[in-house]
Amino acid sequence: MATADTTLFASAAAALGVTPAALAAAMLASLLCGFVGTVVVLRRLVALGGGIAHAAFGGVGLAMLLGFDPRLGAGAVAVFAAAALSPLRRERLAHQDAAIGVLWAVGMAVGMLLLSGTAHGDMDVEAILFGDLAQVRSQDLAALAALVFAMIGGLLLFGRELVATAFDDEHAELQGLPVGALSFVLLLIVALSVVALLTLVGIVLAIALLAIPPLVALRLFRSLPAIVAGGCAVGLLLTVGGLALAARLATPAGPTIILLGGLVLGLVHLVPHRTLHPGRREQPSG
Amino acid sequence: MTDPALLVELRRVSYRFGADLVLDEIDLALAEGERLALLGPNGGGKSTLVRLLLGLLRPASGTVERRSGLRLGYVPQFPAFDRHFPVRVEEMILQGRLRDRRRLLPRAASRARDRLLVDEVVARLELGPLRRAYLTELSGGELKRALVARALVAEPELLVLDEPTAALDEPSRRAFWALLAGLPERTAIVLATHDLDPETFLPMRAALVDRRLEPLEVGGLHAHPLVCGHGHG
Repeated sequence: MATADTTLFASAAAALGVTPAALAAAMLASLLCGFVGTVVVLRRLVALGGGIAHAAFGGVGLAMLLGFDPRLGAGAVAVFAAAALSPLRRERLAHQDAAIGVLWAVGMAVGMLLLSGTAHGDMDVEAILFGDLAQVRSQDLAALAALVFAMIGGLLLFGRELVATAFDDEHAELQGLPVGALSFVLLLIVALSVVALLTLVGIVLAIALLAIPPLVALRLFRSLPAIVAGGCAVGLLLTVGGLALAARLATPAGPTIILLGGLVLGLVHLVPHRTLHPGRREQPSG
Repeated sequence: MTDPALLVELRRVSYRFGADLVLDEIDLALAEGERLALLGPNGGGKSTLVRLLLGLLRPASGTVERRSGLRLGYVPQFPAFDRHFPVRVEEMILQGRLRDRRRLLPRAASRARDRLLVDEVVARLELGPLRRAYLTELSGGELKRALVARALVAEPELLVLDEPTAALDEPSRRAFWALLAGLPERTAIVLATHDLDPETFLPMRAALVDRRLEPLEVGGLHAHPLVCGHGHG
């Protein structure tokens, strides 16, 4: 039975013109789009997540210089950046956007500088920046799956507390929740998701892949569970569809996936809100 | 704290926003069941004092002590959340029970009690038709009532209200004061407002906040002793 399933999966991958490992990675990534991407969008962490992703490039350069796996370097720097930025966010600093922009640029500069003086071996810098699904090996999939399911498990286990913190951290704090720790966990999950998506779409595009599916789902659905499920479905459509398109058009997979996402997002915004949610009686904020 | 009956005690608390001294050496003690109105002009530091009381701000100097495990209910002047967050009114109100729902798998009895409390508060605040609505669908006054409901389901020992009637029309204001008057006597209330409404005010003590804190006699209100903190309204 398992062999039949494996064969079916391999046939589906072949029909799409991609490797089974790439297809599996795309499917795992779509789970991150729904679960983690919804957190990113609702908690307004897109800029912060982008900053962490680009800071991670500095970690790639450092790991290459020291002879480690670049993903380990990216992961370590992403976790460090999440730990450093979590208190900044809690303090609601007036110049938080500037801090993120600086982190963004400094991470890229450090990465480029370190890589310019390092022998890359078989490492393709462009693949780190924009992803390369040809580099997904089956042994990487087990690590990716473990990471994805651990993060989703954490989100589900502490869902009530994490949603309360994401919605209104002040109120959650008054209710006695460990808001500092929960906010850090949320940022940590975002940081690790960005690293998990590196192979698929690279550092530059990772945050867009997290943000676009839930943005589409937010347009289509109203309840949180529906938005998460919709984000997963849209993520699946974009990653698998983007892979198939890239194979057919002989274009790079990462940018193709993101451009397809931009197109879908644009299309759902062409449909008026009232058509999608006819019962709605929106009030002006305030 | 010096007295076990005290819920919160501020000693020589100052707060700065940049170079501006917003609050200067505030002493204040609140005991169980006390009702205190904080009056004063816009920018006088009422909201800052409220947030220091709650522990949402740290003082530049001085100490703030709260009774361990103090149950708080808070209705902010301006909510910190994004109204586009996909949360229904009843889900937001239920978040007032978070302190009691921290077990990973809450018992069915505890969930049923939470539901009962929410039903009761929703009925008292006439939020029934809105309980399945999303926050973007609420008017300012409706959102304020929903925030009051969230604060009340927490069964607070200290209820802190920052300009709670600002967005309410006259009938809603009267209903709101009646609701506060019906709260258990042991519930302490701190009310910050710049808009004194003596006809509907509860029997409360009062203090003026304008960088410093002064006991105040006004209308039917009596000066709050600020540090003794044992009188009931």
